[in-house]
Amino acid sequence: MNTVSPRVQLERQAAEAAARMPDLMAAAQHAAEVVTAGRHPRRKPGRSDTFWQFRDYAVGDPVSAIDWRQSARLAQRLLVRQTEWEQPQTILLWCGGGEDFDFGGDGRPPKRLRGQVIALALAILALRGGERTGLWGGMEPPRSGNQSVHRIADGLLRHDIPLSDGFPTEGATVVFISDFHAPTDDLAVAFEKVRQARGRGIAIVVEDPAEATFPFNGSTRFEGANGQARKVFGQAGAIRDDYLALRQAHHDALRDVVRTADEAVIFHQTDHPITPLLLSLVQQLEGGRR
Amino acid sequence: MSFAAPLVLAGLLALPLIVWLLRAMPPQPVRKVFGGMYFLDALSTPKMQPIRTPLLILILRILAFSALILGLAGPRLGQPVDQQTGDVTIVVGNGWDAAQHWDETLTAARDAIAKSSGNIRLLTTTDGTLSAPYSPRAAEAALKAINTNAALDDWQAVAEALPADNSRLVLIPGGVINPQTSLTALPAQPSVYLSETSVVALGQPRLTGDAISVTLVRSRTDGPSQHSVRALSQDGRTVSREDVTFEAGEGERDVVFRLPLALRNEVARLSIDGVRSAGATALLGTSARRTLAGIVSTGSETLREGGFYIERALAPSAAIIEGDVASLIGDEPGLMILDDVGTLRPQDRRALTNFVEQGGILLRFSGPNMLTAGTGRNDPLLPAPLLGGERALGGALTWAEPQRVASIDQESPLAGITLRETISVRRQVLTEPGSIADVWASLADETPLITAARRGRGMVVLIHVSAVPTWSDLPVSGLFAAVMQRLARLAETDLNAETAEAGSPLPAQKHLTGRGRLVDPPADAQAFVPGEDPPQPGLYGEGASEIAVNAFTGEGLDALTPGALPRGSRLLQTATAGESDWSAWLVAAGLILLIIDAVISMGSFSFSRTGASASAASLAALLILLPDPVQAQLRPPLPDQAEEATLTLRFAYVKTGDRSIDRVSQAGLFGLTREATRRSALEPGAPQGVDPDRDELSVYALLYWPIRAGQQPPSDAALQRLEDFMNGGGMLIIDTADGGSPARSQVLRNVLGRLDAPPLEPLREDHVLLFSFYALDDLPGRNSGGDVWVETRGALDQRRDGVPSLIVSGRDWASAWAVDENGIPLRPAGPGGEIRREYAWRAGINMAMVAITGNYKADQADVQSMLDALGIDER
Repeated sequence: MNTVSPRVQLERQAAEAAARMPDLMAAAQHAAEVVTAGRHPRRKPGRSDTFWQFRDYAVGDPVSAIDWRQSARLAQRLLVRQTEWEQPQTILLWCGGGEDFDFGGDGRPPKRLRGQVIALALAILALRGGERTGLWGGMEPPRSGNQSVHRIADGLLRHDIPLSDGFPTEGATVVFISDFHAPTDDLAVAFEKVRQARGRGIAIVVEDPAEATFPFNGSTRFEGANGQARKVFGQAGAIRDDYLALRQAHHDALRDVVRTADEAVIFHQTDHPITPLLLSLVQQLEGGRR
Repeated sequence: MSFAAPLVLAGLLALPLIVWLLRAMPPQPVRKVFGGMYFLDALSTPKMQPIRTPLLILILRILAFSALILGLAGPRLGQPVDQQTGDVTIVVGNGWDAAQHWDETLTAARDAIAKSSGNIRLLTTTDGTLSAPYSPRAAEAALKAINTNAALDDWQAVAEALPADNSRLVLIPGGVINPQTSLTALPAQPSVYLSETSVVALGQPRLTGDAISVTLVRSRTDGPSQHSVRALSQDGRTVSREDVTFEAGEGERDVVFRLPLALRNEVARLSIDGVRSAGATALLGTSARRTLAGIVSTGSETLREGGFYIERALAPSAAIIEGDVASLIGDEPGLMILDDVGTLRPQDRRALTNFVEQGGILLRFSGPNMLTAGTGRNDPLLPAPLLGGERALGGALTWAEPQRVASIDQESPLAGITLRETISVRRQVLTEPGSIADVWASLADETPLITAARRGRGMVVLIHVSAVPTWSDLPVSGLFAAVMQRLARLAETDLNAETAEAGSPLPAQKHLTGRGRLVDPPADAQAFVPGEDPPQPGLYGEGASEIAVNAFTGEGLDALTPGALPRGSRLLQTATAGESDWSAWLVAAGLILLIIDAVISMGSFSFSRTGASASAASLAALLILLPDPVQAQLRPPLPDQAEEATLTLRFAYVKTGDRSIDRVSQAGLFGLTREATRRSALEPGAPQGVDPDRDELSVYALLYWPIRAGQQPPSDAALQRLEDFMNGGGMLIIDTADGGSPARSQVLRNVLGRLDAPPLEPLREDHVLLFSFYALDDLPGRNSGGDVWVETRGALDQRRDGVPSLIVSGRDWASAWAVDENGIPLRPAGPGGEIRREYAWRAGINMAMVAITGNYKADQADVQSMLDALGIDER
């Protein structure tokens, strides 16, 4: 019960976020192509269900490959039916972070929940498009099919795999979601791993607006979301500039992780709507394939 | 001003320390949850500056702590208690005026006992008996035994009964001064507890025209007040109720009950609501019933006897006595009815003639006897001479049709009665033609049906048909009843005139107690001799000549004022007796200040959460340290239990103080609760034990009260609460567990004798208790002996909810119901074993159902008759 209930909640939120996508796609033709096209045809014969061409039987072709109906129309020719080679894209997702990631300001959702929603919405969209989707560092290989949504939702809630533990599958697109309140080297190493597997990495930095504005004054005791970290400042207003400078430096370091054109680091705040972010992500995925 | 615990005041020395601590305390940072701890960790912490506590908060806290310390020291304002040495005589007013505020009187007496250290003698004002010297403890016990009397304080007797020694004198007078005596004979310089409560009383009831009126008097006229006066019937039902509002300065007011004759005759007593005192009760004897009718007839048992019809018609409007002429005349009825009496003996004839001459009404019915007797030409006992023989109409040998009653003379006393039915007359007697008599009603052929003639101050009325429905339909018609009631009203007698007349002594039937209850008189009770001073208030004489003697005769009700007291009296008014204790107020003020402080601190001000928690902590510590007396005042026993009981329906039992009985009661109600929950939609909470002396009872629906021999009798206050409980719709089950054996019911008698209980009757077969949930033949418990007594149906009909307020029996239900937490019975179930226990549970569930739903199921008892009435054939 305890694990199902949050999972169901997460799935519902993600499904709602993803459900808004088709409307958007009607407006944004570009993004719609990706989702509706689904598979990624390679324009040559291969394994799939889509018809590609008929060709003459050649020695070595399996007899079962002969299309008898077509062959019967022609005299003295045997035709073999070939399908187009389609290779689904592989998308790996990762969503995680430290204590800070559990923070949610006044009435806003915790960053972790927002991150999980984004991850699962992406998974839903990708699976709907026929992509193989899995978790970065997950035990199970990426799979396609709608059943995977539950598996991924479950995994997102249950596993908190450190960023450094995962390994990319060949050619996979990996989406990292966190607030990345950790040394930026971790992300750089992860991107490098993806690059070496001929994939590409996309990082989404989820932040709370309070972190961007630091609206505090007076004697304040700051506590982490789980109460583990705490620190007292006699005059919170006095440290605002220092704090903002530190944060800016960190963001710059995150942006520096990007090496190639199809990689990206996207910043997102929890008081902003999800849909535009999803749209831009879809564009990113689309752009990367070309 | 003094202090109960002056040492606590040393705590004031600690105030500067508190001030210093408060000022030195660094301000508490505001707690903020933040997601950017990753960055903050990298920042250095500057040194924190303490911020001074604002002056306002500082003052607030100093005030709060000062108030607390002062409060805990137990300051007392006012006169200190004078613990006096030496013997003391406490004169306790136990008249009916004191009964109206008996608790107050007892409190004053206890106060007086507490303040004296020597021997204490108690002296009651109405009977003037001086007790032996008591120790304070014994005096308390003796105080409880004092009964109130239906009289006023007799200071003359008190002065005579006072001991000769020069012991101190404490007076607790009842509140009203008896006009016959004064306090001047008492020794000088007594201490007096003067009651501030207004005493109300009802004067002698008067019968004016068509109403009963009574004067409501109050002793204090300084403020407005509201009362309501009830007219009650013999069996305690309310017949009518009148509200009275006194304006300031108004001392007396007439209360008039305008009632139909039938209802007026039911009124047996008047009493003021909520006041239980002989003075607030006005009794009306049977002789106050307006009409006394004497019937001479062959009998009233069967439908063939005229007396039967006459009695039915008269019963609502008159008191009826039967007998022969001689004995009836002795009872001085207003109306004499002769049903077909022909020949009268000469002395009877004389007596009747006399009776009529003096204002009596003689009503005669015709019949065969009257005809055979024949009549003289100028019989004064007939309105007109009769023709011999009757006139038969519509018989086998006649051709005349039966005649109809056609008209009623609207000039006669029957004016206003209308004919709504056809009444046929088959036989009648006729007066001689040309005779002069008033014809009140006549037939269609203008022959008379009712004739009358005045004789002296009275009149003679003849009905020309018989009182049995052989001659006519008249006796079974509505007209008959209307005529009889009209005659009864004509024959109304004057109540007061009757009591004044001399006669034989009337023996005492009932005595009125000081609290306004009627009890059986002792064997040597004084009889009522007309013309002499009335004896003790109560009812005297039997049957129709029953005479009421009331405690208050309506001759002025003067409050006892300080001016009437003996010289040098020191007033100790009960309302403000002793000194007042201010500690509760100070502690409360301190607590409120601390709460204000905490609210401010937790608010938007950025200072001091520690302050609040420190206050809370110190507060908790202080509360623990509170000395006992203060604690008692600070936290009066909160009715937590009652609160719980209001939230969930619960059964309750009266704690007897005997642990084993209480345990069985608890377990019994637990078992009953458990079974009710299991079997029915009634799902009560866990049962509670209550102490009627203290606990609020109105929140329970069902109260189980085991009464055993040797038990401490309940106090008056407890009984009062139990009465309120019953009046408030609760069901009280009294269980003596003795199987109805009379030898052991002495305790029960003691209790019921003092409890203002509703009238009881043995459980009838069709009582709602027997089918409210289970259909049962009886309500068995562990015993089955004796009757189950429940409130009478008559009294029950008066209740709004129809819940029988009292069930009395010796069935020992609790023992049969009792189970432990695991549902294992605690006691053997008695003969019959577990089946018997099952039936006991059923009985209990039935009783609980009735307690909750009232008479909801009672309709079912009438299903058969309702179906019959609807004409539905139940085949």
